[in-house]
Amino acid sequence: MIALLALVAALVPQVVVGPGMYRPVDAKDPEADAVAVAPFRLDVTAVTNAQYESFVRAHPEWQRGQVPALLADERYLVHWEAAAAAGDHLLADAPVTDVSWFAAAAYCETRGARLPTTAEWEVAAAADETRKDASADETFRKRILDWYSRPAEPPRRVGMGPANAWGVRDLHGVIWEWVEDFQSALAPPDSRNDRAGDRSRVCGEGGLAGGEKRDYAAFMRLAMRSALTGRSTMSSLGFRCASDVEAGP
Amino acid sequence: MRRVLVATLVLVGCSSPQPKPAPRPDPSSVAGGPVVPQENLYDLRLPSLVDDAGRAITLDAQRGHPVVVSLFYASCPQACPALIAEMGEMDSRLEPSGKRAVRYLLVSMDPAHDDVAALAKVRADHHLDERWTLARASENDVRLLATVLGLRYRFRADGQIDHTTNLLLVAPDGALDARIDGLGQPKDELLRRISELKREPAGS
Repeated sequence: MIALLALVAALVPQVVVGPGMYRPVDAKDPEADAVAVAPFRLDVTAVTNAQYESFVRAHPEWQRGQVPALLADERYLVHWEAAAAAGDHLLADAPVTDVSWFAAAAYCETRGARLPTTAEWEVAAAADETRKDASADETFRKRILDWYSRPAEPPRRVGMGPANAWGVRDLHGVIWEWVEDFQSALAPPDSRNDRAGDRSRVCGEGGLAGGEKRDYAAFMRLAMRSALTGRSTMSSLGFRCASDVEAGP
Repeated sequence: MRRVLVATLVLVGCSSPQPKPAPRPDPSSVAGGPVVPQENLYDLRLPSLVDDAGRAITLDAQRGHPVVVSLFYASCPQACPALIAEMGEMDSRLEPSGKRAVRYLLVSMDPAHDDVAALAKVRADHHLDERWTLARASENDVRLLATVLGLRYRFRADGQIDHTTNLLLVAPDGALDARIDGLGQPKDELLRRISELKREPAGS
């Protein structure tokens, strides 16, 4: 079984993303707080219902009904027909959703992979079809924001969207995606001094003054991540895996 | 539900800047939310957990006792020492049977710097007795525990960590009892709850 999973892991398409720079949208000083992102591998598409089915069959402790309340809420895989089968009413190749952070992290771990960090995901997501960093482009930002304003659509097969300049698909316009360090969203400063800046950091007001004011979509992703807990599940929230680039000769 | 509604609710909650003459509860620091009765800490395994004597320990080592769990790091300039001091002050106000029953688990969120010696120094600096366990774990295991606590934390480029100061109270059988914003908050409720929990039968 382990050999089979290793084989499956080898078949999941990934591309190398980066290097790049991530400027947290809630940073007071975007340059000082900018994060350098080293090259990493990212799944071209999100994890699907079919892939997640294989995972829960191999690891029944992650089936609905078996997962402890600590690790997933009561809506875990709620749309699946059965504990180990998504059912014909769901597309096998649509992104799996209604999975918690603990579950997503466990899935990636069984592939010898991990979730992407916020910085990694945002570097990957800053690309449009031709430019690796299109984040300053008003048209690109508007496209993404338009998706956020539309009602949720029925799920579709992964990979239907165009590849961005890194070769990654569907980072916008399909689902929200888990990141490894969602806990970092809106982490307040340690000193807990009574500074006016503290409240604005927590609420993101100061961040909008310091960061890219016009990247409202990035701020919405920040707001989303800051509202999640490890056991949260949402019908519009799925994930993809990342892995380190091995040191080559 | 429209996706934009989620972010709008967050923004509305933060839209009125006010002067801040005194520290106030920080709502983001209990971001883990209220506990669900079935949540049990001991459903989590942290295989890399090691105490300040260098011994491998399990997360459920204090099963049978009410446990107060927190995260810290040794080079933390202000919040962590203050939090540990507050926990100690609260402990001194427990009645004798509560003091005998309660246990404390402090796990470092900075394993790269906090080796066993650093942990032992924190114990010595704060005069913590054997009811306190100081421990370190892998970055990944720390992330799992921090997530259960609802902790928000981010490593900065200068090596310091921006973080909330959550406490987690765990019943003798491991059930999560409460997530609490630890720093600067009255501990009377926590005291009362520890006294109640110690009377509950251990195990389930």
